[in-house]
Amino acid sequence: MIEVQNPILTVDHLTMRFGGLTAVDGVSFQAGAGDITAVIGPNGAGKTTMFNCLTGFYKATEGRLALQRNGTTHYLERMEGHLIAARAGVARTFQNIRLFANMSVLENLLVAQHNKLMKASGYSIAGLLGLPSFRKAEQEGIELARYWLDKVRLTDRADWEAGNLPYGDQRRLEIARAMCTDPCLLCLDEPAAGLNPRETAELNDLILSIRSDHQVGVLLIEHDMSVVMKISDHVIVLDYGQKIADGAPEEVRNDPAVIRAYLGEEEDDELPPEVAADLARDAEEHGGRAP
Amino acid sequence: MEYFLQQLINGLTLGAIYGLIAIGYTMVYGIIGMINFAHGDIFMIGAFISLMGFLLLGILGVGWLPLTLLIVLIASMMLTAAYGWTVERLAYRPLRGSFRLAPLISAIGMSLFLQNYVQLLQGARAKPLPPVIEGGFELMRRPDGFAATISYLQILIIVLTVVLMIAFTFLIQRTSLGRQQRSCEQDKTMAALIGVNVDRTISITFVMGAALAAVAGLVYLMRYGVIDFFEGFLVGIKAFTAAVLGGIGSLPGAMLGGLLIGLIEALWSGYFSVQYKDVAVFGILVLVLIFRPSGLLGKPEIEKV
Amino acid sequence: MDAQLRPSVDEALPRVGREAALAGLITLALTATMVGLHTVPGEQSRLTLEFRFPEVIMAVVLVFFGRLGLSFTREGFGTYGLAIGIVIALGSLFFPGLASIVQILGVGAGAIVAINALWKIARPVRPDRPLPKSSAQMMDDVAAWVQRKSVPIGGAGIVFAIALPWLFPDRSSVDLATLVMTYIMLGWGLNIIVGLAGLLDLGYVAFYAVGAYSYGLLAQYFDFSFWLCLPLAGILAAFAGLILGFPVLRLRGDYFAIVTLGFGEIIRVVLQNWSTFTGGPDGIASIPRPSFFGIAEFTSAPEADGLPSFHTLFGLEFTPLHRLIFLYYLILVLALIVNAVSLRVRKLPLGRSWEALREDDVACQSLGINRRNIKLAAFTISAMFGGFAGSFFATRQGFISPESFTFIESAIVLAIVVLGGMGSQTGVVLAAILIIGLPELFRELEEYRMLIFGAAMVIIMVWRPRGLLAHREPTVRLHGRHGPKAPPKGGQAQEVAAE
Repeated sequence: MIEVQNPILTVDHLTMRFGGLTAVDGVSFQAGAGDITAVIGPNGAGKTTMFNCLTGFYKATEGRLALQRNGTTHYLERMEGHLIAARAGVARTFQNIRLFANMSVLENLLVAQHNKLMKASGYSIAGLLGLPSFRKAEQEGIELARYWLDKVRLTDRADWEAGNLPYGDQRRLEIARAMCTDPCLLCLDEPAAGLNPRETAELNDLILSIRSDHQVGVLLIEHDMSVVMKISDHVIVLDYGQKIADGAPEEVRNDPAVIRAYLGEEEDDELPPEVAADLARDAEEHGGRAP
Repeated sequence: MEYFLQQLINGLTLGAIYGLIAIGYTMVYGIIGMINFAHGDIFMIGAFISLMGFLLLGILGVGWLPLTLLIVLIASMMLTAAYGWTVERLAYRPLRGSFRLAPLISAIGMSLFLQNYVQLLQGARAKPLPPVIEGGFELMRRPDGFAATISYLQILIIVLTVVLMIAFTFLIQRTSLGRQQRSCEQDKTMAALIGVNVDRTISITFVMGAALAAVAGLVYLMRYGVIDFFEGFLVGIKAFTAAVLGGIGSLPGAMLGGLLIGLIEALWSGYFSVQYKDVAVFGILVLVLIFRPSGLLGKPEIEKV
Repeated sequence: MDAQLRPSVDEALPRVGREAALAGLITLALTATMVGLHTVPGEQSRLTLEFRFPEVIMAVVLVFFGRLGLSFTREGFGTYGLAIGIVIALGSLFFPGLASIVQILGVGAGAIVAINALWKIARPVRPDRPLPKSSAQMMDDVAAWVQRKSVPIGGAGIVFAIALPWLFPDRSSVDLATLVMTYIMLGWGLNIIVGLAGLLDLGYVAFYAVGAYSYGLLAQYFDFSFWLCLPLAGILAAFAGLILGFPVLRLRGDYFAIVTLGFGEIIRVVLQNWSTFTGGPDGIASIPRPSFFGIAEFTSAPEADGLPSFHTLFGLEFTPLHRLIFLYYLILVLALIVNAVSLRVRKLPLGRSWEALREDDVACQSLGINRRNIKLAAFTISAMFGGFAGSFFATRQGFISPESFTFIESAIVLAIVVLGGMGSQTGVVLAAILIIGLPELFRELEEYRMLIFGAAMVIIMVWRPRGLLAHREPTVRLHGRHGPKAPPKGGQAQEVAAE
């Protein structure tokens, strides 16, 4: 395991089993506080399962998930699901976008500030009475929302129903919504899925700015290597639930284990001899190369 | 001991009836993930149609009992199945893929409609039927004269249920129809893509569920000798409890749940209080849903993220 | 449909005919027993059968031609549909020897077929024009308009509600208005949990019962006054909500519904059987009526229990109507309180989190929202309002028994919420007037009330699954009402196409 200076998240021997299936198998790694850490791997490698353990949707079978925030250590595997976001400050997005589709864009961002605003509304009592302290808090909430709307270029569409937004906007809104919870670690589950190249480039800028302007660590699941290689500081590769590589993007790119995981084993040996011979003759006749 | 044995037999009989209805709930839940709230009323309609069958055959002068039973059984299954089909076609099919509570609300509306439809056409009063099959075996006798007996009717109910269960398991596991149903359960879009007629498969599921409910209605009518338009509500809820207890979506679970609920109800009424037997069943429903929502034989459900 | 693309009648006829024949056949299967045979008591209290075959034939004929007309219209032959509709209506009106109910059904069915055809004829589909709006989309526009104009509409409604006892100062009108208002209050209370939080509560009547019995029992055993019991009933019902809510709130949608149904039934069975405490099936009688805020009694004698009577206090002529009108205003105020609280909470973080929960509860958790707490809050608040309504019910009736708290009652309140439009306060009022008010006005329909009701629930769900006046306006806007216009429903498709 690569030791990271100033880690925000330390995952130690995380294992998740569903009945007989081990989806995540003893994975350990660290994510740095100001880093973009990418988690890659073929489909079914256990990336999303790991995210679900981190964010409290699954209870990890074994392992420790330690998160550092303002000098306190939170052990995520022991926390209730909603507290992981509320106390430990881990926010996430979903592979299949989960917005509040019938609510407006602005409302989506205000719901994300629920805990803060709920307190300000005196658990609804100050709110019911319409006290100025609550009005002020709500105005601040709207200002924060407006900041993020500007950032993801959705200010004009703030009053639209979230479900009516085009796909790319929905992706960005989901990130803005996660950021409105004021997190210290942002987990993005395939944020570039379904985006066109221009939108992907914008997404890269957005993630980079979240890291640098807001000192938020980013954990990123992504298949799009143009995103992973361009912006991540640190790449972790999973295959069949196990970690097979961990290091800087350049190192990982050239790691033979990774190449094997993505491209499969060399399969020449497994061909029956007749077929191999046929193929070789075929290649010779056509002047091509043997496969 | 004799008393216990008697309650056990009564409970098994009742449980068989619940199990037959529970299969309808469980199959529908398995395939489209909704609680068919009107299923209890389909059972009630099945009982009414059986009643009419007996009366009509009586008027026509068909006297031979096995023939009467067979005709009533088949007619009731077919005509009740028509109700099952219609309910699905009118109230549920248009709502597939709609907002999540819509089918359940539509089902509640359908349930109210069916109850009042029967009440309007047949009157609110309970309809009695004189015993069709009488007699039985005496199993044990206590010195004070109390005897545990099993009636021929109870034997018939249990045998009929077992036969239907076996036929049904065969149908689901071995036939193309069963495979289509299971494929729709897994993934309707994919099933449609490989050429399964999803609408038809779902319709058939409702038809089968209704036919089994009709059998339950027939034997319920023969066992208790009375039916009214409101009977389906409570029996339906209890059968649903059975389906949940066994693990909704699982056919053996439905049968097991039915037997357990029947036994619990019979033993509770036998040893504690008859008045609170419904509370006991509802209590079990609540407890099962809270502590083991996947039921006894169901697969645990993981929140999909 | 393009003129060339439209099939000829010859092509369409077999298909249309087959559909109609199938529909007729199914109708035969459905009605042959239930309609065709009537079980009636015969000699020696044994049942016997009467035959009603003409009705079966009528039903089959009606369905056959009705389906034929609808199918023709759908295939693009509106004129055929129209003709068939008119024939059905006239035929059932003038065919000799038909029962009046059959005539009504026939004319109704014919009218539906004919209107459907006219609708299609009036708005043809042409390639050079945008698709005409469907009826559901038009209803969307109506709902949106009602929602935007909710302040003037609501204001007018309240003014009318206040003026009502003066406009119709007779006993039956005031009684009816009180009844409708009780259901409006229950509907608004249930709307919090069903419409906002999206949790289908089928046992709402349990809290109504808790409220009613709280007052009944407290008055019976401790002689508490109504004004003391009203808040107590609310608190007790809220408490019941909290206790019942705690275990069930982790359950998913339809399981939640069934468990609440179970709780409702448990409470009723307990009320029914715990005779020593609750009076069992006989219920509690002679529950005291409310005083005029503890300063006057509504009695004909000038003084009672040391309090002056209402009419002497205000120098009026005695009439029993005073108390009824007072009760009416009481429920009006209670209902308006519920309404005000719901409207206000909707704009608070709590209300927004309820709606978010309805939309996607997984996303709620990922944002750090404690799902259990906010569900519990919805359940408790909703229960409290049910409790208020229950204690009002007890004092108005003066008599309560478990009979009043069956599942049907829950279903009626749910139907009000659902038909009106989940989350729509105006919709609840409309639905309560339709469901409670109309059948009371047309007494002869009483028999058919629940039948129509069930059918209406199904039809509305199929037509507009979120209810008649369902429309959501954002609780807060960044740009105000006249900012950049949001796209209509289905706007996303156009947007994507444009990119």
